[in-house]
Amino acid sequence: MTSSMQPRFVLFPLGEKRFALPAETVAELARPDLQQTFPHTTPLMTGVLVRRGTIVPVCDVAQVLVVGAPARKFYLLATRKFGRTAELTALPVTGECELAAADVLPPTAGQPPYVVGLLSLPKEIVQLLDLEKLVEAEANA
Amino acid sequence: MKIMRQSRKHASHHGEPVILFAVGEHTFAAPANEVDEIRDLHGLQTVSNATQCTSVSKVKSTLERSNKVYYVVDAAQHFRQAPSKASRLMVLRSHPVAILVDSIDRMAEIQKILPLPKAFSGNERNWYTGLALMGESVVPVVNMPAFLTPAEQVMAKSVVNRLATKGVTA
Repeated sequence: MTSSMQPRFVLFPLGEKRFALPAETVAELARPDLQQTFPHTTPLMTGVLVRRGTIVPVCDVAQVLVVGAPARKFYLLATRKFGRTAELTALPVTGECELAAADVLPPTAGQPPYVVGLLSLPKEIVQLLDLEKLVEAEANA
Repeated sequence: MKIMRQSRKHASHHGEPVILFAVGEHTFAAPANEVDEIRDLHGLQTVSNATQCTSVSKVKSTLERSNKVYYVVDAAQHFRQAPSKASRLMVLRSHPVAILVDSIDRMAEIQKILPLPKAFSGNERNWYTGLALMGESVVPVVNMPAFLTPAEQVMAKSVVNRLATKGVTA
């Protein structure tokens, strides 16, 4: 398979590790913005951003994926679907993101359910995430 | 401070008037037409000893006003926040409920209430009717009836009546 036919992914760092999301679910990488908070009880949600007059919720997936991630520097804006509607969610990440094409290998035994595949890159194996399953797993924890 | 009831005929169609109030480090907006009065904490009768081990432990006191009993809800506890220093009471217009808040900031007019993002799926879906954008600040607009649901009002009434029957003075 040529690389132009390979599926594309956005790789994002959380501390020492990188993770991947399907490229079609990622809208943009945004610079740090003022995060605002209000009381709520939804796991992983840490607040909201105001982006071009719209309110974007912030979901800190690092709480599940890594231990002791350094300060998040950017926001990866990913699309989540709620029934028929789609909504942007900001994922705080710790550095620059990269667009990569790669074949997806099935997850190995023992991976959490939100790891839906593995990307074999030249110097690393990157977990491909299903954001909905990740959020759901934390909500049910 | 008595909140003047706004006549429908003279209501402004430019935006919704709200009362901005603080609980802990957070600011909230209460629809002004749902608040009857803002007052200090004089005249409250504590019932927290009776309610503390019940499902209505957020009801801290009662207030008798115009021959009517109001159940006083601690907003910090309602929003699952650390205890705060309440200094003001917002008496609701259509419910026998008053809300303990830290301070009243000001009245404002909000042009648009945006829906709470669907990513928020917890109790906040009931706590807020939406989010107001005030400049660059996001302020949750509070769903006032959710402070004490009808079922919770019945429970609070039962607890308070039991307290009265025992003749306990708090």
